[in-house]
Amino acid sequence: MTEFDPEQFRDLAAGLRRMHEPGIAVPPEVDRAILADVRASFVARRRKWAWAQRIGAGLAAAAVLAIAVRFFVPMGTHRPAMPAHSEVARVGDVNHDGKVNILDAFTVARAITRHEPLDRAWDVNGDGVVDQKDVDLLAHIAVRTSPEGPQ
Amino acid sequence: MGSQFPHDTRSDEALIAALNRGDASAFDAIYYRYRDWVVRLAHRFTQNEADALDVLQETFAYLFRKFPGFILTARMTTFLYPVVKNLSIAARRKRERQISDETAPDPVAPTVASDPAQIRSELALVMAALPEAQREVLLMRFVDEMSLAEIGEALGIPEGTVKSRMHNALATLKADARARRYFEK
Repeated sequence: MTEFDPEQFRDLAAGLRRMHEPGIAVPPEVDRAILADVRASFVARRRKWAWAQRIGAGLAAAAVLAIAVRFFVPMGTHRPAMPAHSEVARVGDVNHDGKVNILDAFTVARAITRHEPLDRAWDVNGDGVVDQKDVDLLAHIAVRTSPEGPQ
Repeated sequence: MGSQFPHDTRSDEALIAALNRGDASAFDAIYYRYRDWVVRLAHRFTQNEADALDVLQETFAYLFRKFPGFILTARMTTFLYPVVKNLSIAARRKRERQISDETAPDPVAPTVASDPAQIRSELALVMAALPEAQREVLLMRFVDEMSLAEIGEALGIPEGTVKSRMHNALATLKADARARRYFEK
């Protein structure tokens, strides 16, 4: 028997339970309201959670790619000229800091997650929609177009 | 625990895992499994039916805001107890601010039943005379059916302190002629 076992104090325990029986019957409409309320907020949070996970995975993949290129692309390797650099860089420089890096991908990803207004210029892949595909492409561009290497 | 889902035999851990995966049926199961426990505890602290129902709603809103990603590291009642207690105390303080200071009871101490029929109960009178800390552990053990370890965890005190309060509370009750009959075999 455990210490202070209710069975050992059966009458006392029964007396206390009778004292504190709530006598409150929760109305079904209260049940429905509570469940509807939490379900609605849960669905909204799951959406944000899913986006956060996708962004996290995308950023992690971009970081891995960046590290791999930095360490495995020998110095001095001829890189084919990319006359479209300036054009791509202009397209990729989402946050207008003069650089094309992973922060540009993050800027678009964050705007999507927060349901903020999306700039049509961010439609990097030209499919008419600013979405995760543009984020992924920006991450890819950031790795390939940085003159200093991946950032 | 009251439940309108007697056929849902999933453990709390399984329900939480299901909720984390977005399984909507797990909502209802957890809610109905703990609804009556929460409302009874809330009523014990607030002594007001409307406040108890508000606390019920706030408690489950608080719980479900933790999903997805929630990890249950103790029994659900151990987790919910301080939530219900704090929300109930807040509800009582809010109500008491609306009442004249002259009539407001101690805003911190949870009271014994205020129902006149229960007040007349000798056990209620003896319980009301106990220090609040002792009364609380006694009720958590015998009414809420929590273990000593769970009580300690819910209140943030060592198990030894729980035992000490239980011992002192029972000794006081046993020594009181009005409550002695509850200890007679």
